[in-house]
Amino acid sequence: MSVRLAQCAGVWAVRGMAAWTVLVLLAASTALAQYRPNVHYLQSADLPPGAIGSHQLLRGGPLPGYFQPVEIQAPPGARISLATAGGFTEPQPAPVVVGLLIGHVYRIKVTDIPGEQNIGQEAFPTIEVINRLYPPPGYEARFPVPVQLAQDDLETALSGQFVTRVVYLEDPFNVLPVAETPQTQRYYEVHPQDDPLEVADRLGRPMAIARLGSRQPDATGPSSAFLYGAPPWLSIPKAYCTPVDKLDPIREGRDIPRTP
Amino acid sequence: MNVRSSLSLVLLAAVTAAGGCGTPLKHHNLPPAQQLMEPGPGVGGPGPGVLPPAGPPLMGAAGFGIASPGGPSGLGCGAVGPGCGIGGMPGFGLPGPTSQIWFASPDGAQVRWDVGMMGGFVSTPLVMPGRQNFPMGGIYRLKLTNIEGRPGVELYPTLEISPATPRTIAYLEHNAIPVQFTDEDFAQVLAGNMVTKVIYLPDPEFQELVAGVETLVSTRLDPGLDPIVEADRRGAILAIVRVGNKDLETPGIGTGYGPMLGVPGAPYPTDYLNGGLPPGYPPLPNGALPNGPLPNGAPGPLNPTVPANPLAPPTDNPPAPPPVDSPISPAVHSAEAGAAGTVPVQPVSGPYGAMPVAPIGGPMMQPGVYPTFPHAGGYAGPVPYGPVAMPPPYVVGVTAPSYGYPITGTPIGLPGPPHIPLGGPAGLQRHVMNNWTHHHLPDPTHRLAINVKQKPGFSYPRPASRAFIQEQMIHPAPSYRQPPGNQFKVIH
Amino acid sequence: MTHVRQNQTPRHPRHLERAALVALVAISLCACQAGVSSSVGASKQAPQPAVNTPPMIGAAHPSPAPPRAVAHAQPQVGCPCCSGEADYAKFSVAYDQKNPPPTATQAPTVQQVGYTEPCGYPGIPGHAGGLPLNAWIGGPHDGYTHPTAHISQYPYGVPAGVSAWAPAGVQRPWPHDEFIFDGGDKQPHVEVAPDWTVHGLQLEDTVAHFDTLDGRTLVEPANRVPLYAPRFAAVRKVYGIEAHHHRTPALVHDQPSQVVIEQDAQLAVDADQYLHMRTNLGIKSPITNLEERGPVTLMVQLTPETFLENFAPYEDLQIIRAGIYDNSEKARLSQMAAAATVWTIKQAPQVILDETQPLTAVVETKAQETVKYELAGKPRLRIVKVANRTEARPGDIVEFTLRFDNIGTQTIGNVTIIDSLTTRLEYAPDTAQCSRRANFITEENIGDSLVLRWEIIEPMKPGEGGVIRFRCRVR
Repeated sequence: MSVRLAQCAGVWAVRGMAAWTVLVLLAASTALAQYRPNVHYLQSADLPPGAIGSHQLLRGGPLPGYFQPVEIQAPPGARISLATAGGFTEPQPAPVVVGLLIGHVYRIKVTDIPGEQNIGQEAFPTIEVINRLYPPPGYEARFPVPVQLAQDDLETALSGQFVTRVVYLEDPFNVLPVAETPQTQRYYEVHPQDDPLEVADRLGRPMAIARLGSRQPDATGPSSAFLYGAPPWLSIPKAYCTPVDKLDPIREGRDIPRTP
Repeated sequence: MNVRSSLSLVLLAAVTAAGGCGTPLKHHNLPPAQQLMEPGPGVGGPGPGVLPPAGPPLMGAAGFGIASPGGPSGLGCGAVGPGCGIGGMPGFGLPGPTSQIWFASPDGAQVRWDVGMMGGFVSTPLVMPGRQNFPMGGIYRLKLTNIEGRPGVELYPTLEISPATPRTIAYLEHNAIPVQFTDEDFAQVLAGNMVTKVIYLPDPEFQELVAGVETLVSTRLDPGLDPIVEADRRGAILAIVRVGNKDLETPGIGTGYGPMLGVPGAPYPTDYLNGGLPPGYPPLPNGALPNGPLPNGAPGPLNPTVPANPLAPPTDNPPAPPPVDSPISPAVHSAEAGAAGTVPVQPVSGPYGAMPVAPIGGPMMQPGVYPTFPHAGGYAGPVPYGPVAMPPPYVVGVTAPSYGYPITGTPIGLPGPPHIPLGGPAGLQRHVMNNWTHHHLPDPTHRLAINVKQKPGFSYPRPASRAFIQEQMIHPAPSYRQPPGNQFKVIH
Repeated sequence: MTHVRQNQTPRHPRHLERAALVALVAISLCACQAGVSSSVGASKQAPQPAVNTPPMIGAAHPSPAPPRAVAHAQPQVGCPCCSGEADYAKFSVAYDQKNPPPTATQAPTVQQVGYTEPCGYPGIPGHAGGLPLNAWIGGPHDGYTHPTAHISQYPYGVPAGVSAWAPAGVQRPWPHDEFIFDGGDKQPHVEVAPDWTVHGLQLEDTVAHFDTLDGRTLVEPANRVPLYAPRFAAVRKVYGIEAHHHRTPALVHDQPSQVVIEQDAQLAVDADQYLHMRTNLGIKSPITNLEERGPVTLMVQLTPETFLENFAPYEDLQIIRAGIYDNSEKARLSQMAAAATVWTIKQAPQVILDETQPLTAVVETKAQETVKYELAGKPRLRIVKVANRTEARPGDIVEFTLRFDNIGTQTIGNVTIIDSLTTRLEYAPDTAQCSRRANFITEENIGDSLVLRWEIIEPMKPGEGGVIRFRCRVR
């Protein structure tokens, strides 16, 4: 009788181990499944400019017509122009804060890129805003979406490569424990086989896509197609990017001036 | 025994559970995009209900090409195509989307192209390195002069710009296509060889991080490989450059556009006729072929060992048979034949040899369906030659097989079953294909029940519905019963 | 109930405290029932967006709303949303004369001229790709608004967690990924072992634990303070194009069927093998970091600096200064501390039990508790957390203030206040202050930030309290 009991105990021990095996395998497979979700991404960063933003507008919400402030950053010394009808505005030193519509593609011009080899070079990246922030009222311009056109990006693009940069909002529960410096934006370089939009979606919420290349406008001036129709944008003076308590009190209660 | 069986059962359950969790038992996925564009295996054409892929909002807005005034717009925007279905605004007389070509090297060389008329090469010379926009979907004759180290050498390459596809739009709108000629290229060309350069945007699985300005990772292919097929396999073709040593401006030789005129009923503008012929050349009636050289040279993609002779004298060319086309690999064929300048009338160098395939019918590409021609009033850009403004890929009947036409190949490349070589009796009598592909394409859900549960829910104590009142006295009332001790009396 | 309490003159500090608690319970109940945001308490007291309505909170509080805003709103009688063009032009000119925009571009700010509307996509309505008819081009309440336009609406600053738009029925602050939080006690709740080992302390948690006279160790969480601080990063991808060369040799006439190849075959080569993902920062996941360090934790014992007695403006609340909950400060406190999330559900039944008697099945329960409390008193600690700002950009300094009070009727001891900072908050060294004598200990947590720990040395009698301040840098 006692022998039989011992055998039974051994059986249960083996069964316990097997059950542990089940649990471990389950955990491993679950972890794998979480690492890369088994989903089909409808969109990728290789889509034509404007396609992702247009789909975003279809999803509803207060997206159409909202000018999401975007801070276009460039290397020190570089100047930035935005597209207007038939041309570009006067170059302004970077960074420039503008309000951009979601789903539209904005062609900008970057001149005075630092570096000896870049003298006389002009880059014409595009920026497409695909999501917006929901800041407290009054703080919209203080929290623009930073779109950084780094020196490396510009030089790589001018050399003929195609650079896609997806700016995303970090998930606060999955952030790097490092201090953010305002002048540099951290970025991950992904393998060309990976989709940067998918990677950004796993890391946070994609906000904007910047694409850089070497294409120049026509010799007779940028065409409307080159400028993507020059969609409207909103110029935001730097004064509005400061916190409210530092604003000049004389401007209380006023709206951003605009031309009628 | 009992132990072993139960243990194996548990392990089996473990494996099954783990596998079932990591990889679900039933995959729901879509076939590749190429299969989505066709109704079934071995059958060409887009399937019913297949939506065209999303395209650009603006730069594809001018349709897939440059419509010519007076020219038929038979394809128009009814066809399926990225530029067409999206833009919906065929720009008559306006230049369509362009690709920017960056002529990178050799430094100092000059490039000219046709402006306003054919064969003139009258554009302002572009000194390399330089950029120029070319409308998509055309083939352009270039003239390359002032090559350093090779005085007096003038070359006439062709530059074929592919139409934009959804895959390439983002790249083309931000980047120029670099074109460079190396010294080795010139040596090859002057030695009598033809150099074909295919510039393509690799698919993600073929993409590699490349560095350096001279951006082109130029891969020399084996002679047996067709560069266009290879590039198409690995990505999306952006441009094709072909260089040979033919001199297009030699007096007494046709410009090479002659065969275009032989298209019956081809509705080309008259200025094209006049401009395309050398001075003194009498106008030809429709249907006749000029007795000029045929600028053949590119072998078919599947038949590279039977090429035509690009340097043959004009008298070697037989009269042109009716047009040849094949539904197999239409985009490649169109591009390849277009480089030769003889798409509608291709006498000998069709992709499958000189087969009079007109009776096959079905996927015949009608010559007149090329509707677009960029030579419109007011447009001063580069003018393509040949089958201008290639329609975008996957247009039914043009660059894709007609709907439902079987493209099952035979060993000799014929798209049919009925014909076999040398007229023998057909050995193959029956050809059965069963498609056993598991498919599960459910109908849309008609009724959807959504159950919502909030945890924790709302719970309040139920209101009192009854009350129990119990009064208790600390000092109980006196008992009026007979004390038990007094109930019985024992009498002695 | 709140009005009744408000009109009553508090006769006794304990009455006042009870009134405050009951009012707060009312707030938390409201929040629980409606399932809405922290702005519930604020929206009852704070003025509505209409500018011409005198702010109620100004009447309730001695410091009125800025008179400038009221005067400014006078011309806009009626609809406050559409400002008259003439009025707008007037101050636009004034703005240009006094303060030219820093960008100084001559181009108009809204580039409308020559805009050709994109055509949209198949199956997509045309206006989706283009500028919609209701596109906001500068109106006050639809989209982007001037920062100072809300000053009159929120005289004490924009409340934490108030965003311009949120889906209906979703609890604010929303969306969560744009905020960082500090405070509260997330699941699983913090438990303290008899040897004062703290279990279940997670990132963002702020709790206090104390010992009672009867030997229990109780845990009290602080409220949760949201900070609007989005942070961005990018993903980059670089690729180029490739080319294939093919050289078709000329054929010899008498051998038309044979291809003459002039050169040997050469295999395809790649120019570059640079394949690896490149980052400009080393990535160390928090879990890895934890494993490297092992179970041994470093503890640094510091002494708090001397406490500055003057209070910052954002701390100018009776509950912070003196531990007295003033009902008139309720709305303001809700702004500074998002009061709807302050008072947890856990507290509600305690107070209700004290004040009102349930109808049924109470006799038994009440009898037991009464006996117990009459003997030992009621130990309770209240801890409130406020921040000096509601938004921060990376690099900004945020100052937190914790007010803790013994609001029970029993002396409590070994009061320990623990704040586990979230990853995005970095404690600024030597900024911790405590108004009571305390040991200050920092300890790294799993989020590569710090756990701040104050151990109040002396026991706290009923009614006593203290203030803790510290500063953090937003990463």
